[in-house]
Amino acid sequence: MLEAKNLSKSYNGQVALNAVSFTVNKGDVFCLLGANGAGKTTTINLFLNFVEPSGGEALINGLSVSKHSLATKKLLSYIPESLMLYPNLTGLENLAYFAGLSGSKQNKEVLQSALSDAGLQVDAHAKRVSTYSKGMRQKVGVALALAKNAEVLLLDEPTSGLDPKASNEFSELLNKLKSRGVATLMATHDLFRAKETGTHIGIMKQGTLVEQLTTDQINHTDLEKLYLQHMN
Amino acid sequence: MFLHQIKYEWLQLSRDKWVSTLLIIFIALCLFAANNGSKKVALRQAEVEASLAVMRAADSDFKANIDSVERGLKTVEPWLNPRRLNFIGNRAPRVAAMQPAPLAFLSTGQSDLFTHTIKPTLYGESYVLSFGELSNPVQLMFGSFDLAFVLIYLLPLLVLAFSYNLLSSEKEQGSLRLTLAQPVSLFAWLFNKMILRFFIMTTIVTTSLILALVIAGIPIVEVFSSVLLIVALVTLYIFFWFTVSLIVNAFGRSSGTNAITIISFWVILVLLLPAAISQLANSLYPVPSRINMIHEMRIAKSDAEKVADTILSSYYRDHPELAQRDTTIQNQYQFYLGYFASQDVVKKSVAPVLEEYQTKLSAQQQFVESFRFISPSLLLQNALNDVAGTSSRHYDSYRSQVVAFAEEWRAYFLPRMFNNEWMTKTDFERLPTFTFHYGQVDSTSSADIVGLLVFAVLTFVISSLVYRNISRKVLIT
Repeated sequence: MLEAKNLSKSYNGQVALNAVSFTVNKGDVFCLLGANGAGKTTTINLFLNFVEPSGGEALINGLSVSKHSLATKKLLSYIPESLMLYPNLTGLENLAYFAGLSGSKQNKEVLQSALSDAGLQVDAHAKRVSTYSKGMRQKVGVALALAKNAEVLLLDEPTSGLDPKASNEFSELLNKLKSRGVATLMATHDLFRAKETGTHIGIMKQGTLVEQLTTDQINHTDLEKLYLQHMN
Repeated sequence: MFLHQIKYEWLQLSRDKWVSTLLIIFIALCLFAANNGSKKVALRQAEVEASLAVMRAADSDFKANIDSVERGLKTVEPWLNPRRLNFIGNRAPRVAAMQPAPLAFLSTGQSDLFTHTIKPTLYGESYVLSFGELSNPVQLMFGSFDLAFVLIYLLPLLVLAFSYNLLSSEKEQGSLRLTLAQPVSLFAWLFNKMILRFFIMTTIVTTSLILALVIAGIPIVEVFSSVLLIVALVTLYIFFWFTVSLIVNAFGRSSGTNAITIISFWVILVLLLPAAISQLANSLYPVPSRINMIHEMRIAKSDAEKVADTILSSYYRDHPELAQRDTTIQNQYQFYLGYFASQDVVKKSVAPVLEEYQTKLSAQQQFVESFRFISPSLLLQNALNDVAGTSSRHYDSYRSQVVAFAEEWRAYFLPRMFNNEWMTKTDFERLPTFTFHYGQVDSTSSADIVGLLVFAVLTFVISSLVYRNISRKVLIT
């Protein structure tokens, strides 16, 4: 479970995030919408302890991220906008390496099934990542979440730059993780995917969370209207 | 976690052709350098052998001549008479040779500046003996391509090539974000990456060293403790350079900036500081001109020779034991006796000049030796010269051992000449001989290894502190 409590961040007096609060429960997919620079990535970075909050707290399973950096990282998995792996290693080796780093060493079969579950074709498992497309790399990221048994998933515009089919596959993976009870926080520009896969939606503007709603409260058209209304 | 990381790090390095190419080039360089060093040592040994062979041939000639003259088969001019002690003392000098130490091939050190065969004679001053060797100045300017050069100058560059982008490359290729999202400490993770490279480098250097020893035909068992010492020194040196790299990486700059920063450290520590120290030593402790010293000595000597006869009579007063036993005949060595007596006077009168020269020389040397602690490369150079037996302390010791031998040589002839004796064939076996004793030179390697250890620990502590206080923002953006 993820929780932001009055989370604030300013860089040299410039406010990037202003007292943002929300909760993502097990099996929820919380989609953060907003223009570039609205504070979506900053929020995710705060949950990763990549940056120190200026105020408030980011909690994972009730543990403060800044105080229990390593313990909270055991629980989470992260897929950045462009997941970069070691090009010299195969997909399987990359997965084994990162899974091992997080302390969950798995045998080869488990890792291979994680890759397959994440939708990576079997013949690609033993190929070097330098030959992978972006979508394939993102799948290794999902496989890592599966192998790690992550309880929390942080996604930073994971579908940007993916073709519609790959994007659709990714949404299906998210649904799979959702059904396993993973709490997901996803920053995205894709209103359609947000409505389709998200359970909750938050709209951010200039560091403030201006709107919070559940996806079953709204349809596609109204969501777009609401979004544009905030942006203008 | 450690072994896990090492395994995948190794997998990556082994798939990088650049890494294996560099390592192979490095081993080749080591072997080439060792071969160069061995050739130099062989040349040095050949020179010594040639000198000794000339001496032995001359000895048997002289013995044969003595035999012929004794039996009256041959008459020779008095000044060419091998039975005369002064003739042998001057014309059949022993070769005071400095045989190369077992590991001399490691480091040329001072060996290309000095000669290794000196022949002190009866006449002439031992302290004016020239130890310098005429050599190709171009060669001296470039230094020699020996193993010490490879280890001191090139090895850090190889270490830097392996580590300058340890962190920055991860940042630049984007994998750092995913790594830092895992429950790992940045320093521990980076340190593990470094440790693997460190082990690879030490293994490569140790292997090259052992290969070089095998090729040079040196039995490793005999020099085992020295080899261990060299491995320890080089290991610390490698570790030092890796931690320098680690520190530079902590500032989160680009790989290019890191490379330039680390190269600057290399230039400062390996090139500038040693040059600065030698410049400083020359201007703070200028060595008085050797020519002037010799000139002053010659004046003192000629003054003394003018009054040689009076000196001789007072010399007899001081050394009654030297008075000729058979006084019925005139001593054939009369000229030499005056000379020997005047030597004492000369020695006394030039003592201050000599002393001043020596004091200034050792002050300069002291300065250079104590300032070696400001650069790890100077420490390693010093230690390698020490092991190779080519340090300036070795050549100092050679000088004083030869000077002592010159005294011994004179002491053999002097009483006999005062007693107006002849040289016989069997006397050749009794002539004093010279052996250079490496054991008389104090080793500085323990101080060097402590110095290097301090450097390694210091940079390690700094790196761990730097990473503790590292701004995470630097890494992510």
